[in-house]
Amino acid sequence: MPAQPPPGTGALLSPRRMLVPCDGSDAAFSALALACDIANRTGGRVFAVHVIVVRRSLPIDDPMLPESKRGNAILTRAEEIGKAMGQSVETELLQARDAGSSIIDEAENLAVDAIFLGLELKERIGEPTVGAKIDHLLREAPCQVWIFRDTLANEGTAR
Amino acid sequence: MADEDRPASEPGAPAEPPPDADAGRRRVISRPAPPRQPRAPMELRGSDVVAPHAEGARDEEGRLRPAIEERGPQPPPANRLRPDLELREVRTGSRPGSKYVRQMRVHSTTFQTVEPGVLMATAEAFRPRSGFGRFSTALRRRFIGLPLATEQLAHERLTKIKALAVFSSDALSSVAYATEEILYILVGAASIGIASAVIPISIGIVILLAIVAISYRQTIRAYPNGGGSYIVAHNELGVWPGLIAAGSLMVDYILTVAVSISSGVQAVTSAVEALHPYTVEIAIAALLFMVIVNLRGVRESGSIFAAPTYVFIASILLMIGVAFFKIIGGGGSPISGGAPQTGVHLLKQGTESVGIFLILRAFASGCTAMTGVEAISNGVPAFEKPESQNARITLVWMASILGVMFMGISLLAHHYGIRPDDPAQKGAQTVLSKIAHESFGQGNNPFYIITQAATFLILVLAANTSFADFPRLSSILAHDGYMPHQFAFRGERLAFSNGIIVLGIISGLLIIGFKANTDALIPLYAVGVFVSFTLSQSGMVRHWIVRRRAGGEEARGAQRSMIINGTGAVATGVVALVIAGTKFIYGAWIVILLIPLIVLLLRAIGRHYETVEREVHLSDDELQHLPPPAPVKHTVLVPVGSINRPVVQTLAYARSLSNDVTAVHITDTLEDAERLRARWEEWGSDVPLVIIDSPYRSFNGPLMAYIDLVSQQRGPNHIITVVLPEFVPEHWYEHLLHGQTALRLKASLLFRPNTVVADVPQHLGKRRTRGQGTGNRE
Repeated sequence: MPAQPPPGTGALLSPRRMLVPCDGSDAAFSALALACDIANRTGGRVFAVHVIVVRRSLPIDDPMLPESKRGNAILTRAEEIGKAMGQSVETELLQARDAGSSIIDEAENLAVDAIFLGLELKERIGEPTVGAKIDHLLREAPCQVWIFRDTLANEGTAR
Repeated sequence: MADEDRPASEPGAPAEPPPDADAGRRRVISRPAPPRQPRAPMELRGSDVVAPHAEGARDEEGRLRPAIEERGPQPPPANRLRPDLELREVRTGSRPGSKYVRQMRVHSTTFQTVEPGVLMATAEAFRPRSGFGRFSTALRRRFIGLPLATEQLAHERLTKIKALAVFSSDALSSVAYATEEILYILVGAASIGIASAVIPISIGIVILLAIVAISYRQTIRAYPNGGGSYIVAHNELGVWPGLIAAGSLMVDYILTVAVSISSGVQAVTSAVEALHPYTVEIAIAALLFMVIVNLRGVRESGSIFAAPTYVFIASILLMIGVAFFKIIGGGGSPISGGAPQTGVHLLKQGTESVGIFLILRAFASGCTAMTGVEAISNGVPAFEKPESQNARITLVWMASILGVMFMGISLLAHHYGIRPDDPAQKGAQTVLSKIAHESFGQGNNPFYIITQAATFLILVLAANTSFADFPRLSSILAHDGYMPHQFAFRGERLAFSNGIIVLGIISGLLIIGFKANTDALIPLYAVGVFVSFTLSQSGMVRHWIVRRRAGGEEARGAQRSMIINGTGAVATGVVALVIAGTKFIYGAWIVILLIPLIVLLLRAIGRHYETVEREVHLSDDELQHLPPPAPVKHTVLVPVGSINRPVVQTLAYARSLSNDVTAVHITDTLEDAERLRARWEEWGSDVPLVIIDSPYRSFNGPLMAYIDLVSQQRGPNHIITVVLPEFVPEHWYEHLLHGQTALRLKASLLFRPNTVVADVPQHLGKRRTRGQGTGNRE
């Protein structure tokens, strides 16, 4: 008798509202493309956010012009990728003291089913690590967290 | 306006009160209504004020003022629009005390956020919204291509190879008719023996070409951003010399198009006699082709023009080479003159005596070979980097090729004893066609056909030099305020579309007017070009004098350059006088008269823009002391035909602008006006209604007179705002069913000072389908 998938697997693999934090890395854009692909199949929506981390010495609503400009460029690229994938990606720019917390807050606010993260392995004292932000999201996120890591040959900036 | 069909009120106008009129009334009347006036007697003619402003509100000059005080500066509302349309909010995070700022970007296909406060319109924003717009856009896309973004402008640069084709086709192609024009004068007007003068005349022209080319190399060096005659003369000699150079060039660019295309068509009719009756039609079709190609943009035109230009150069050089080989192989010398041919369509043998005037006139006609030499110096910015160096190299290529081809053709014409035919005669052949036959053999052999076809193509495409330079010159003049600003705007394909279209129209008229006859157009030609050469070179002399005086590094080589440009200025100046003198009675007088007229027109346009600038300009100092914009004092007038939904909506809008609103009803039937007043009072609007009887049934006149009186009462610094209710039918053809009173009124008010006109459109079809409200809800 062939093995049956566990009940509810289909729903697990079909998130309808997806949030992709974009830091401008190739991995993040790959995760976005993956989310768009899933959204195309599920008829879902994709949100892309870029978080500007505001130093404690500055007010939280500081204009942060250079960072805003870079963030807007990243989100414009995200919109272009979405358009190329046939998805209308909704983009937001966040300003927060801590990137991980604001992504979780926004995931709750947007009631997303999954957060898609692009992973670029970093090395700390010779050991590969996913980084503090992803670690935080894995522990605190109220929804599914999908982590996407490209083949090492394509990772480029990570190594 | 709502009742725009009617000059005054009509009986039976649809005037049902809005279904929520009561609710609207409750909300609109937020203060005590002004006391209602007793109804005026019906026999009263003129203005009949139903509810005038409250009494006692008069200013120190006794002028009536609104009962309600003008509103002062208001603080911005809490939900004030962010200009970049972004939504920005501070949100509380899930962690105690944490906050973050959420900025939702514009989620639109029509705009992209570049940075805070800066939006960029995408291609989607340019999509036409109306049916006609979609049709015209589809037509433009088909013929002109997809629009190019401004950022693509930097990529629209020409290599030397393409630039030679684009900027030199005019000069190079003139070898097709320059020798012929010399012979036309010499043989047509004098005895046959004088035809041998073609050789010294051609040598003189080649020497002049060398002088001008060397001079323009100096100009390109000094003006790496484009040193057209206008720029040089304007910068170095002043406004008037600059404008004379500009006017001369403009005339010559137009003539270049007409002459080149006409001559090209003549090459075709030389080869295909059956096409002779369709000369003008073929010329206009070729012109249309040129306009479309140029509207597509400079790079593509470069690609299109490169092949014919190089085929022409190759075929002419081959023709000269083969002919020389035959002559030398046969033991002859190309320098020796041949016996005159006995063609069947020879011109009338001349009776004029051989004289210096005839030689000079022939020389002047031959100078048409030099038109277009300055094009490269005008178009330096269109070259690939390093622009200046590439332009100088291309200029040398062009002058060398031109010199060789022109001299070769003149020698062969002399050697074979070729005489020009009368172009009006059937079966007439060009001199070039005859030489090609001598070289490649009689009959329509392939080389002959290629030469003739390439000649036709390059002559048609030679007009491209003008299509490249006329719009560029126009844009520079427009930028400097000497031509309408529309000429400075780039079209969808980054070309100066308005200049291209205007050049196309004027040269088209010339082709039709002169029946595409090159010989008739030639006397008008080359005057302007030599005037602009002279002014440009004189300007360069002054440029080097100033540099020399400045001393230091700048003075290096200045003396040498000054001598070169000085020689150019003298030579071209003398030639300009020769051309003007010898061609004057043959048609040059038209150009000599036209150039000053154009100059005066350009100066008049310049003066207009200077006046406008003086009136509207705010200096930095004035700006610093300027208070922030304060609310203006204005009185609002709403012309009404009856009480209906659009009128109620318009009054609601008018009330949101000011408390000082008056409804104006123009009528030619006081009974109808009476009914309207009764309904008005029944409605209970706080907006007073004035009825103006118009016994001559005109609408605009009485309303304008009433506005004049209100304006007179309010004083000169008071704005009169006229808010018009206007029907917008769903389909364009439904406009025909409406009288367009609002449109006529807007046209009348456009020129009235201190008057603002606002439209409150009522989209009829959309309103029906969407079931919009009356608009008077708050």
